[in-house]
Amino acid sequence: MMEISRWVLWIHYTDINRMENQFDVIVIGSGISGSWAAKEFCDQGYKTLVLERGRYLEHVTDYTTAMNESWDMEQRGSMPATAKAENPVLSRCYAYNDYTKDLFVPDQAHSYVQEKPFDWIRGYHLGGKGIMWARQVQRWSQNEFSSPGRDGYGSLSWPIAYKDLAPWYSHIETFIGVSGNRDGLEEAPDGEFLKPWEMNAAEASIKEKIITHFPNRTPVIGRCAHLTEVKEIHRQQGRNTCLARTRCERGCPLGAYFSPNSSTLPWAQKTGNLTIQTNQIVAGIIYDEKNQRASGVQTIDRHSKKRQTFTAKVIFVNAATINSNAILLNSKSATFPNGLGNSNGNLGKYVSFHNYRGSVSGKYHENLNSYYYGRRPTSILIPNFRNINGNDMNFKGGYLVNYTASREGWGRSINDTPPFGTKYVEQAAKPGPWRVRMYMQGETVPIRENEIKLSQEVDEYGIPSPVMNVGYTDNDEKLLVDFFEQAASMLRKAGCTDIRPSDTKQAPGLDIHEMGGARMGNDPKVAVTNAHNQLYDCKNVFVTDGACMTSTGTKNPSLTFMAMTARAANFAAVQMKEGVL
Amino acid sequence: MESFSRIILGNYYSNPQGNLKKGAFIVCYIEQCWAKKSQETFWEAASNLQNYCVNSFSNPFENLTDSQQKNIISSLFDANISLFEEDVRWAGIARYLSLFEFFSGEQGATEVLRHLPLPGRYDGDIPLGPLDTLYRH
Repeated sequence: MMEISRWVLWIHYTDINRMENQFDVIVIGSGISGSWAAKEFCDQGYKTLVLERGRYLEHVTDYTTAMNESWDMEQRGSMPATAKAENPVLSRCYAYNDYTKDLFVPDQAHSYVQEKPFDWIRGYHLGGKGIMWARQVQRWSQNEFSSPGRDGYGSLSWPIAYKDLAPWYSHIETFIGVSGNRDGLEEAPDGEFLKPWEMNAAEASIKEKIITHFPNRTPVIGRCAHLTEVKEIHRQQGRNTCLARTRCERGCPLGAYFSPNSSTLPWAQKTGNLTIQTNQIVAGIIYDEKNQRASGVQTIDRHSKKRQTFTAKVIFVNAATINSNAILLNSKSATFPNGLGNSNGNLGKYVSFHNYRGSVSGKYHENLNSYYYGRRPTSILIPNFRNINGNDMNFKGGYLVNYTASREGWGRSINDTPPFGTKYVEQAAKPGPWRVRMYMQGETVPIRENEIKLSQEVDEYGIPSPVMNVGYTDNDEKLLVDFFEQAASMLRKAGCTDIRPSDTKQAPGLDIHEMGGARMGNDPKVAVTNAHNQLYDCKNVFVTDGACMTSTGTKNPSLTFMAMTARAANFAAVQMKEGVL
Repeated sequence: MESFSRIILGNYYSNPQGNLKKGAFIVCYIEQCWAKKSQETFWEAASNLQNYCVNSFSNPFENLTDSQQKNIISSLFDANISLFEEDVRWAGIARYLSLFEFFSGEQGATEVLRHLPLPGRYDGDIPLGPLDTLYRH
């Protein structure tokens, strides 16, 4: 245990003039949002430094298990018990397995304090969680921007509307490639889509029944960042069509889904304006008291522990929600003794996440002569249908429902044959009955008490560990009850039997959609960032990852992070051109 | 576990890897991937099975005739017959392990299931014939 001391960041003038450490822009974090900031600035000719605390991860060559089959793995892909015992948090993550274990941060590698249980899942390498992410991308609806202010939750209204982000959604979708269908639904706005994936026969049949019995609910094929076709812009990125392997979390040698490593980072590198420094942990942002702006960042080398200072006119904080909040909180100065951006005391507060606790499954008895070929990287989604025109439920916010139907595999019980032998194996090898599973992605309401703060203890680098004090609220429980009722009802009306609800009772964090702490808003007494993602306290520092999100909405957030980032980066670029920043 | 797997898999039992035996894989898998308590419970039940075999036939399971082994396994899965405590549950787990070894191995995955290393596309509605097997997922 490190000696307890409070680490305070001061300006180091001695190395501030090193030319090789001076840039136009510094981007903290190389993941989905950070890589977009880098791309936008590099495209416009700005010398940009991306700082990544983890190792370099080379596209293709470092995807060491991408082509492995189960018989290539020691335990056929199952995790050893020792790994599970050493990583009780990480072992709960759906994407953590023997194929992907080297892409996740072990529990003890960067410890944090849980005042309430919180499962923090991280990937510290170039590209971050952008390698292992689930690739589901949906635009927010106007209702998601409106509802916090309209229904009075989260103590803050969004300072922007859908129309402000819409052109940036298009900008992102065109570049990264998003497959989807133009469904014409207000709650799931259409985008710039490549060919959609198909529903299977059972899913399509269930969809029709849901529409018949619940006219305000329309299941649609999921929108995901996979190339179902390759346009010229994707060819220029060196990426190829998705081959429906779904081995995505290991890294894709084809670049068939969007990742920083296959797309935005190499694109930025080709401009000649990008510098990447890996193994650099950002300890804090340096505040120039005299000029009342941030001047740069101080980093600590992960291996040598050598400190360096990098300077820039503009700093983008994209270290992912928890680390972004921690960096800002640790960026103390005489002007900001409680952290940069924290003059109103709300930095690190109002953290929220997505509620993934609920799922309901059932047996479906139709389409028995139908099967499916290939492995589809998306599911069916039913956009939120609660509190659309006002708060008419006994909870605030809403939830998105995903569902998939699949044929049971060889592990099912087979009773119509002797329980062993040739015939049993042959029966087991045939597709079993259809099983449908619905699961929720529930909005959680930001409350001030859900917070990230810094520990009194420091880690091996002298940096205070993050403290997570984030939990469920009564609103989350009521929303969950409604989901169970509605999902069971939809499955029943679709003709399903053996309907089984399941509450995982998981801690927050396993959703890997934590947001907030540096929220956007028009009220500087409550918000930390403004409508352009600038810190109110320091206009040349921008926060565009999950930390800036005023509320969580019901949608997978990465597309919105990317759109926010591109919008803010272009705003900053204009401000730099005009000499404001 | 080798003899048990041989009965479970029937005509699909073969050992193309030579020295690498199915039973040995299962033992190693349990040792590496299961918690200690689960291992102890499993092997205690396996020991109960051996005790039954020795008491009834003066031989451990692996030395019994093919017919004797099949009769015992049938009894394990019969809820009306109790050879030892939790025998039905144990048999279900042991059978699952045998099938796991088979279907996650190259032979089962490529010769019995339909293996698609590079599907190339997703087709949501293809006809399923009576003899069609699972695509490996």
